[in-house]
Amino acid sequence: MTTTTTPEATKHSGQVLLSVAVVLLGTALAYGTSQLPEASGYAKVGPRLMPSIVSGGLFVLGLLLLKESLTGGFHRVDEDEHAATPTNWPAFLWISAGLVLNGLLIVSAGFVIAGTLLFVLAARGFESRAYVRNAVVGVAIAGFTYAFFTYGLGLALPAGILPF
Amino acid sequence: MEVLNSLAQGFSLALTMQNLMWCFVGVTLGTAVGVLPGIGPAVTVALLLPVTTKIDPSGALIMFAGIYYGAMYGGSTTSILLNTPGESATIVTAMEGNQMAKRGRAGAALGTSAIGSFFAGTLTVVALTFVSPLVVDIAIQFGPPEFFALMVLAFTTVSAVLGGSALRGLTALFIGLAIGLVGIDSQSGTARFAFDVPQLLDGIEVVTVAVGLFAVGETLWTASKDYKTVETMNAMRGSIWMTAQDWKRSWGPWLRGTAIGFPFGAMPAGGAEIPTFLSYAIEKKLTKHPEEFGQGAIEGVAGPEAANNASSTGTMTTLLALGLPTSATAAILLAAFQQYGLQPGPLLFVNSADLVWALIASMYIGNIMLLVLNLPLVGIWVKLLKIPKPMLYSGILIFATLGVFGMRQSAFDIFLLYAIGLLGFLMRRYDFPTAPVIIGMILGPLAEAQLRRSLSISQGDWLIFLQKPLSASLLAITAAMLIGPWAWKKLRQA
Repeated sequence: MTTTTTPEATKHSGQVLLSVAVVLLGTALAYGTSQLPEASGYAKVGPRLMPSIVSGGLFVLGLLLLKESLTGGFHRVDEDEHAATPTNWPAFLWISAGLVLNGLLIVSAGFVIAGTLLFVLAARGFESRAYVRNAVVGVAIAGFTYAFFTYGLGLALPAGILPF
Repeated sequence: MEVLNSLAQGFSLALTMQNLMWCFVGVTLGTAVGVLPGIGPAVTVALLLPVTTKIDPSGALIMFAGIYYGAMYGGSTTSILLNTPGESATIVTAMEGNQMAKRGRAGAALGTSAIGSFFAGTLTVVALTFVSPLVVDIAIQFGPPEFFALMVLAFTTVSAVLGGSALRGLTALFIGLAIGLVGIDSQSGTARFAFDVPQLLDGIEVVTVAVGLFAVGETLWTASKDYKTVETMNAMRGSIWMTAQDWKRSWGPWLRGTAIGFPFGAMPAGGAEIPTFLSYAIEKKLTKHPEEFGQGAIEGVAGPEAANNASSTGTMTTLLALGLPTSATAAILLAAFQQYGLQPGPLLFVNSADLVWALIASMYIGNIMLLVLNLPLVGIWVKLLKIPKPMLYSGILIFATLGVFGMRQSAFDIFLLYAIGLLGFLMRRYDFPTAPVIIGMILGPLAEAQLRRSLSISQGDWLIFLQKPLSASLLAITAAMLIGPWAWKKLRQA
């Protein structure tokens, strides 16, 4: 059925990278653990115990994943199927931009403005280009939740440059 | 009877105007997020965690529990009317229910699922009422080694037993455990993996992780990978009041589904998926109309719907009586208890009996509300399905930033939210389950505390876990589950 089959050699490269990332995460955690203070007391149980188990676990699991990815790929993950539906990266970037800008603006410009911007950008990611309408809907949603939380529940959200 | 006295006490608290209102808000929200794709009960409860600073514990927990079991009702509406299930526990409902709807029997399918859910919900709350005190009586004698072994068993079942790959499930669990380590160690005061970032010293908020994985990850995925899926909605046709024939064919599956769902939810076996699939398989075997299966058999909706509701109550039993969350939503409910400095488990029944029984009583009331919300008023929820995708997902993102920012008033958390969203996207891409991450991060620190307490008692001797009969058997079961499938495969090859 699928017309776009990726060559065998590169087919599982994403899986290999991901497995290596898990191994590295385990290694980094193990290093961080070694920097923690030694357990005191008779029983030798302290803040290092659990991190040692977790970092060791991640390291081993990462190696097992790596082995799977190099020998035929992850169990029950169909790479050909993924190759058949290409990722819509522009959509991904629109939404990413919305969230990152939200993080940058939420305190300075305020919850309502940052939220509206997020709404318009994310909707653009979903192929909705009615910017004015989307801005109106975004203001309505963000404004309503702002009013409800700030005045209704007393949970203050940042007003930013808006006076209320 | 002591139980009935406690329950009566609980009702007197649950029936106050204020708590009735919270219950109503919870089940209504639960139904709504159950219906809507892209947002589920786990995200919703997580997003509402900031309100715990403003509402009293009984009100908030009654609302959160309502969201949990309410979503089980709402999910079926989506499964029946759309060709995509609203919640993972309603995948089976989507198979037969969608076929029924295509054949103009949407009303009957919605009817049997709402009434079946009510039936299972109520019956299992009765079971919860009487079973949990018994569990508490046993669990109150547990020491740290028993609790630790129980948690290890729960970790294994939720990550290694369910899902497509034990390896990926365990990796997800360990990522969750690693997230749970960040911050100041509550026992020694040592900062771990915080890099002197003040927000990390306080630990990573469960809201940020749950919302990042489920809402942001899901949004990124839907926009960039799933944009081709065109959903066709079935018309709401046929009376929601079932015929005599429908009733006759439904009550058996309801009963059996309830009987399967409750123990599955209550055991630390986690998830509502397995009991729904089991119920479906059993109904397919027992039915007098095998030719209808795959074409819209009412038994295939009635059984699984009862099973998924029953399992959610079962999960509540384990959460309240043992303090053990076996689903992502239950883990976030546990976090909600922690916001109030409460720890679910046997001691909760002793120290906060009023709260526990008010919560249990509210579940009786909530199920009645849900029956009304989901039968005569089903038309309202159908309208929710008409919200266009761009509006729905963009709106969810606004709420995501609201909940995450509202928790600590920190823009750092919004960036963290995005980073965890990227992780969620990757996990979705490579088919890693996400629930173990949440369970790992919440249950991890509790397991660590029990582990260190056990080893302090034994003065560092790990054999303590094998010397106690109960913890030894729990660990033996865990080992069997981990090694069993692998050994079985090797044996058959040999």
